[in-house]
Amino acid sequence: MDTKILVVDNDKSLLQNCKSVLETEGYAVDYCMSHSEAESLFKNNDYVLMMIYMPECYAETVQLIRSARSVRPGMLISAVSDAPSHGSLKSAVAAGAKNYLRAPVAQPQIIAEAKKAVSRAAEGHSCCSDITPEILAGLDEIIKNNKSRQGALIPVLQAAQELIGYLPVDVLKRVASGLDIPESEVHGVVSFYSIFTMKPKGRHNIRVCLGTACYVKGSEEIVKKISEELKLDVGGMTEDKKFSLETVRCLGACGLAPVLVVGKETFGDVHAKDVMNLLKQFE
Amino acid sequence: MKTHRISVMLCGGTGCIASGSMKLRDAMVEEIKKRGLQDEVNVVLTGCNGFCAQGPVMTIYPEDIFYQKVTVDDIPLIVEEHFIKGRPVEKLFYKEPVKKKVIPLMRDIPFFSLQVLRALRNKGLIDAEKIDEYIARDGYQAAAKAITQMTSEQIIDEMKRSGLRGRGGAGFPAGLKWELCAKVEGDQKYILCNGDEGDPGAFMDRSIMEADPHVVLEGMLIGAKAIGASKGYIYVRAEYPLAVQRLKIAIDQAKEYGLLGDNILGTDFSLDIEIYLGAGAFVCGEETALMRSIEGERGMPRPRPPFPAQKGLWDKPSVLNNVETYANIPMIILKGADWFRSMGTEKSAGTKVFALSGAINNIGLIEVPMGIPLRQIIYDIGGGIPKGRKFKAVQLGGPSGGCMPEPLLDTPVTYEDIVQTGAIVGSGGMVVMDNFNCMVNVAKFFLEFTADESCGKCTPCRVGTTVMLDILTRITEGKGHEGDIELLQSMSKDIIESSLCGLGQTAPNPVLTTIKYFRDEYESHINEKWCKTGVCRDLCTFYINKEKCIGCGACARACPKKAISGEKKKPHEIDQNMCIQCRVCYETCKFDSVMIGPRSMREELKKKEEKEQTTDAEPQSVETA
Repeated sequence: MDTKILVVDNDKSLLQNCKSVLETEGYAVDYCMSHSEAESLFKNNDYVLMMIYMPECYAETVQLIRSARSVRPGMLISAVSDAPSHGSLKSAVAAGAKNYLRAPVAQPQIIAEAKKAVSRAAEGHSCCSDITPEILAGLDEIIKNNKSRQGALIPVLQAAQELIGYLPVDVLKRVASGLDIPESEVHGVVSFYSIFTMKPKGRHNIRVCLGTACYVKGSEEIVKKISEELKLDVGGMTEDKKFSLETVRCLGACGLAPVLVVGKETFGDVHAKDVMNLLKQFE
Repeated sequence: MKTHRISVMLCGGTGCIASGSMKLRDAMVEEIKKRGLQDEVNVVLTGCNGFCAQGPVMTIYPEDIFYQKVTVDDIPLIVEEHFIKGRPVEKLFYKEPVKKKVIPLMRDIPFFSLQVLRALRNKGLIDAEKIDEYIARDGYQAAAKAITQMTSEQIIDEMKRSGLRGRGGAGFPAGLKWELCAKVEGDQKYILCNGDEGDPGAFMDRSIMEADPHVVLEGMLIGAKAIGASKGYIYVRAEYPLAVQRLKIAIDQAKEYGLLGDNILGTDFSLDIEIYLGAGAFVCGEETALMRSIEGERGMPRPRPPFPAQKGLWDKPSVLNNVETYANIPMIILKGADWFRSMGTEKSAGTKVFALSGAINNIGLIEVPMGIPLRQIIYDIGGGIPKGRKFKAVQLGGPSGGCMPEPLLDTPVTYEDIVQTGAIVGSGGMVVMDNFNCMVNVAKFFLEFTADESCGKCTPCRVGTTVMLDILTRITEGKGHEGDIELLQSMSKDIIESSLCGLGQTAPNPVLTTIKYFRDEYESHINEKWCKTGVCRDLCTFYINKEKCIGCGACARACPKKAISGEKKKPHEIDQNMCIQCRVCYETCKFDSVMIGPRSMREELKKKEEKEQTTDAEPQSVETA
């Protein structure tokens, strides 16, 4: 798939210049001069980067950044300005811009920005595949429904994880701003409770119980076996996204020890030597 | 009401569902329809029966016939033979593990017959999703009595006289807690239920919530009336989806019947109960931490005072009790404190539910009078240790508890007696260990748990447990040295004295008790580099006793590395260069001929093997020539 970049400016020659620079580097570039055009472009295309020029009257541009951030939470947004004021930068960042570039932007700088966006996307900031506008709408719905409730954060995060499967940074940010809670606090809660994960899970999430009863019956060997056979660390996901592996505290099914859960199905009396056979049924 | 000739009570607890009881129900219902018996046979999916390891289990009434490990293929047989011809299916009866005696009736099986069911009185008898069945078993009568006929003082007085102590772990008298909270003035008070059963090896709260969710609501209703609360929360682990689902159904039904909501039973008493899902933090079992968690924060404990009874959830007066505590309350109100005290001891009244698991024949949930000796639980109810192995220790109270050895098995199970041994009753997890378990490794397991679950607030707990874990890991890897045991003991003392909450104050217990009762194991790990159970891979050498080995080849077939060789019916040998110390041969051998030696033996044996190979080589070459 092409790596797509969007550039928004009011100077056509500058835009063309920028396009040719990036295209020689192998990126697919769209550009436009009007905000409405930009809006329809990022709604319909999955860009890793949007570079946007901030004019002196920046209110409308900030509005566009905010809208882009909400539609494409994974996209890197870089604001370009030749006369940056404190106010314009602050509002751009508050709206969701990540970087600021001083105009005129030199060629190497443009290329560096594109590379940054690509590596950021690879780190999982991008939600290109997982987070569709429908999911975002679902998330907003969850936030809206719980907003008035006391102690809403944990239920919202639980529902969000149920919806998306995990909690990427951008989702945390959206929850934070939606509930009006500092991002640090949201992250604090997510990292505190073991049920929350910021890493994506496979189609089949394997949870091996490491409660006492399972442990004394050898559940640690099961973890080792799965981890060796699938080349998978605890907390990780296989390359084909089929399986992910977690360990859990007592599942309360000690009568069946050792226990493992795949998705929502519980298996009892599992032994290390049979576990790979058991996993064969999952596609 | 429709009556049936036969009632099938099929267990629908988490354990049996995992063993396939949902498929059984569908097959049973279909088969019954096929044979036209739908008006005669009633199939009920009950909550957890308690005998989880034999699952899926079912009880057939009126006879009280108990079937275990039932499969879908057995269903036509049960319907044909038992329901139609009146001949119970013998092959599905329970077999007593020691004498192999077949026992058809549930009430005759020692696992059940020695129990006294109070908190679990409805287990396996009602459909947990039908409020009418709960009501038919005297459900909500106690709540009605408390709400319409008793004052707050009367309820608290009855509770105090009953001597009911919190079943969650600390054993604080429930009546006293209520009294404290009732005395505090407040516009809003909260009644909370702790269903965050975090102790590994304990599953009684899950079972109660799944089998009898209304009893929890009824207990909370009585508590709310006593302290003057109008809002309640049940904090349940998200790992218990079935419990959550059944509680939700129960709350909806209670609301529909006017037993929850505004102006309950026409009085001015109102209570609304909400479920709050935990997010997987052991420390949230601690009451102040649990309250922080409901507030949506990191679940970190707060210093007391102020006590939650004064300033709890959202700084309002709150009472938190455990699921099992609530399950005891309706019967106390209905039958009185004296009835409750008729079981148990002076300081530990009533019954307690224990979760038996680990190396024991009858794994499951049991309820026994307090004061019963451990030995009776393990050998009579639990049916002893399987596979002909020997009892080594029983772990009580999870990561906060301790390991008790054979000589202490006559200790009566009461709060005060168990504490004397260094363990605690805790929430009631009882994990039995046999002679295949290494106690240093068990201590390490619990420290791994507490080090991971420490919330990080107090340095002694956060850093102390980690350092203790490092020492234990070192010992199990063969890098222990003199003074480690003393260091562990002195660090334990510091952690106990300087931690804020129960997690830190009890975290060293598993280490202290294993040192106290199994010091020789620590010493052999440290001094001789020898784990005599072969659990710590770096501290053992597996070899075959040639005098005992009969050459059956079972170990050679089981060995994943093909490191064992030998001719049929002649003593086998383990190749030390290939052996990975997985212990499979040791577990497979039925003749005790696989031995475990200290680490140093490996080198000696390797040298010997080399020597033999060179001397063997010569005559072999002669033969081939």
